[in-house]
Parts: sequence; structure tokens; C-alpha cells
Amino acid sequence: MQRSGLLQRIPMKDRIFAVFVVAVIVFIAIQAVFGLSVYYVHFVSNLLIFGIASMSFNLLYGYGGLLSLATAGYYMVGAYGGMLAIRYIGNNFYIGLLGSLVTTAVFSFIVGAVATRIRGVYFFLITFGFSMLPYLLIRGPTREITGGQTGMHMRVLPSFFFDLKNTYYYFFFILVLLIAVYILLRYIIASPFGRNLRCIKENELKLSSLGYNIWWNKTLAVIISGTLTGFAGYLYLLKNLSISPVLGTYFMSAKVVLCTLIGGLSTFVGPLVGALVWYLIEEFLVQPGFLEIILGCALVIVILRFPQGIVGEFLKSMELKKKG
Amino acid sequence: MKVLEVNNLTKKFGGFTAVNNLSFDLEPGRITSIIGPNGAGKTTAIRLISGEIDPTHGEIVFKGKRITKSSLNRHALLGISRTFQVPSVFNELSVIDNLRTAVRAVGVEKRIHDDRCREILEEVGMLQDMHVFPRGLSHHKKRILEWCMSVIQEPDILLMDELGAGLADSELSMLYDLIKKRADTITPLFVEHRLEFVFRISDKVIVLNQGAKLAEGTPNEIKNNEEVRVAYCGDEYGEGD
Repeated sequence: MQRSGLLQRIPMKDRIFAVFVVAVIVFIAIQAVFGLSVYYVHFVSNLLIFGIASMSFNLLYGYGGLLSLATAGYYMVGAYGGMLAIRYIGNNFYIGLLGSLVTTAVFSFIVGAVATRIRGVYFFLITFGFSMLPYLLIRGPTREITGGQTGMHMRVLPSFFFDLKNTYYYFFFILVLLIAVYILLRYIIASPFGRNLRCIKENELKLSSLGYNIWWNKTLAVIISGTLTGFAGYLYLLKNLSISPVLGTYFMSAKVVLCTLIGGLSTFVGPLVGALVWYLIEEFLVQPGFLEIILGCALVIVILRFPQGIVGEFLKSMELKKKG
Repeated sequence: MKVLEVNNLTKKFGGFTAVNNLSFDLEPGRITSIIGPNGAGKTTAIRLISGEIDPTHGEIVFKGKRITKSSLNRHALLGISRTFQVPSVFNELSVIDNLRTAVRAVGVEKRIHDDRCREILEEVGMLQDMHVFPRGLSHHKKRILEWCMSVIQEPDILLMDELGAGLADSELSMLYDLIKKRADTITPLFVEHRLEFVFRISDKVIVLNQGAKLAEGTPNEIKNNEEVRVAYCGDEYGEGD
């Protein structure tokens, strides 16, 4: 009884997250025990990196009501920021990390400071504009240092406390970071700033009339979300070792939005589940080219029938069950 | 010492003048009400004073300081609080978190936040609703909660936009007693449609019609003012102006 009492106290959404983590670990353990190829380890690592980006996006959209299309921009700035720091400053994991975080923080501050002055669909459009900025800069004017369309390749891996080349180690590294980001985001949302963010979604005018600076609260949310997305970009860089501007096309931003809608935007685990669904469909169910059609239909069904998304609807049904 | 002076305030929306050359002042401890027929510019006046919108011209002087061009949140921090026509509380947060959000905005010491929240909930008799989410509360309690969120910030002026809308007489009287009790420190300014209530509680009544000030005076003066009567009810022949 004592144990079930403890379990009861953990919110359902955190339990879903725990199940997700355990499932991923079991899946990878099976791969390792039977000595299968590392293909699916890469697959899951990519999923988790994308998951970090989606969860960070949901801080803005699900909690703050700010539909941002700049995810691809942050992701690419994070990856290129890390790459350039490693290439031109020093071949070290931490230098790259710092380069990545600082550049995305600055970039997202610029996006936030400008875009949050505008509301609704205009916010959406202006973030879309910003998301294309790094893409165009990297391909065009800064071609000499960023490698242009061909991208950049990391020849020597930066030193770290474990061998970054080891697929299994790197997978666990990402998993730990995913959990850390999840806890961080949950902590942020429970904090006074998180309360403000939820209030902005509900009634911006009222929050402002209480004396809060809406612009700064929104900008801070954009900076946090953008920097974490950039961090995911840096993890992607270290995993794949080469990057190109294709990484940051608008499709990436749209993918994050769609995964969040499918998984459910009321929790952080929602986008993660949405990403899982996306990756599974992409991998097992369809020939290339059909993905967009299937996902388009799935999105229509989700929005019309299950506006809360997979996780949201599940939580709702659990609550109804509890009430009897 | 006047706590608020409004001088020649004008607001135009395109070609439409919502507030036209409005001047009045608020004295601490005195209850002032703005009344007028629909579309008279009452809510626009509130929006101007609270800093939500900038006036086309004219000035607002708060405690001797010109604050005409300022923002909603800046005005709130200076000490001009406001409640809305539709009770505006945060349904996503519990009652106590609503109050915490309010008290945290103004520089109150952190460790007494919860005490202050409890105190005010106890005063209005809502202590048992502390952890309830406002969507489960009655309209009346939402109004009280919104009022508490303003009062807990200890503003100098409290602008209340149609506080009485949707409340029963007994509920309104209870709120009125609470407001009256604090009138010395928190100067109230009502925008109201319920005239019997306005005439009972106000020290000064300002009548707006079509954006401009039609009359200003004590409730009795206003009651006997022919022009006001015409603006509200039309003249003898029922044509109005």
C-alpha cells in the first residue's frame, strides 16, 4: 500500500515520461544483448535529440501559447555555433558547447525581442522569417567560413570524458540529457516565471495590468526555448559529425509543430510521444514520399477528433476513469 | 492633495472621438463614479487612465507626476490598479496562485506573500476555496477574487469597470462594504451602470455622454440634473438628443 501511495503522488504525465525512458532503455538493451547492428541505436538517438527540440518548443507553444516557427533556426544556429567554435577556437567539447549555447542565446534573444512585440499570426510569420535567416546566411554571405551548401565536416572528434564515437555511450549520454532537460522544463513551468507564462497564454492583458512586463516574460521564454533547441542541434552535430544547411529548412520547424499537435501540447511528454509516432511511421510504414500524405491526414484527424493529442486524450480518459 | 488629475483627455479612434476633452480629479478617500449611457466612453476612459492605450492628447497626472505616455504594467507598478468588465482571473492557476501572482508583481517581501494571501482570503470569506481553480467558482467569487488580486497589491487608485455587472444586490453590497473600508488608502473609481448603487455609495459622480463630460457633482445634484435625465431617458417627447 505504501508503495502504491508513493506512485499515486507522481503525476501521470511524469509516469508516461518514465515509461518512455524505460521502453527506450529496454529496446536498446535488446539490441546490445543480441549484438544487432547499431542502426536502431542511431535511430533512437536521433529521436531523442529531436525530442529535446520538440519539448523546448512546447515551452513556447503549449504553455505560453506562442506558436513559433523558428525552431529550425535555433537548431541550426546551435549546430553551426558549436561547429565553428570547435573548428576555429579549439577542439574541445566544452568550447563547442559554449559556442553553441551563446550563439543560440543571442540569436533567440534577437528573435524574441522583435517577434514578441507582435501577436497572433504575425508572431508566427515573423518567427518563420527569422528561421530562414541562418539558412540563407550560411548558404550565402558567410559561405567562406561555413562551407555553404556542402556544409561542414568534423575531422577530429573533440575530446570528452568518454569516446564520443561509441554509439552506445553516446546514446546514454543523450538519454541522460533528455531527462535533465525534461526535469529542467518541468521545474521552469512550476516556477513563478512558468506561472506567468501560462497566464500570458490565458490573459495577457490581465497579467500586464498586474504589473508584469509581458515583452520581457515572452522574450525570456523564447530565449530559454531557443537555447535548449540549439543545445539539441549541438548534440546532433556531435552525433552525425557533419552538418549542412538542409538541417535548418522550414520543414524541421513544421515537423516540430506537427509532432507537438499529434502528441499533445498540454504536457512536455506529449511532443516526445508525437516524435516517436512520427519516427515510427517514417521508418516502418511508408515508402518515402507518402509520409507527408499520411501525416497530413493524421493531423486533420487529430485536430478534428482529438484536439488534446495522444497524451492529452489519454490523461483526460484517465481522469474520467478516476472520477468514475 | 489630489491623487489623480485628468486634464483635457481626448482619445480618437480614426474619425471617432471616444473620449472628448475629459477633465476631472480624484481625491484620496473619496469615492468617485463615472456613469453614462452605452457608448459614452466610460471604458475608454478607464483604459486611458490605466495606461492600456495612449491618449490622442491631454494629460494624466498621478501624485503630481505626469504619466500620460506609459504602459499598463508601469501604471500598475506606480499604483493604479484595475479590474475588468468581465471578471479576469487565471483559470489555469489555483485561487492562491492567482493571488501569489498578483502580490509577487509589486515589491512585497517574499516570505510574507502567503500570509498576505491568506489574510485577504479570510477577510472575504474564501479561505476554503484557496486551492480551487477559478473555473469552478461562481461569478460572484470570481469578482471577489479579481478584486482581491488588485487590493493585495495595495494600489493608490483602484479602477473598477462595471463591478456590479451580474451581481445580486446583496453580493454587491458586501463588495461595497469592503471597498468603503479601504477607501482611505485605496481610492476607488467606479464605472457603473447600476445607478441606484452609484448614488448610494459615491461622494462624486461624473456623467459622460458621447465622450464628453456632461455633468459632475454629488449624487443628489446629478439626480436632479435635467440634462442628465435627458441623456439617459430622452426628453419629454421621447426623442432624446
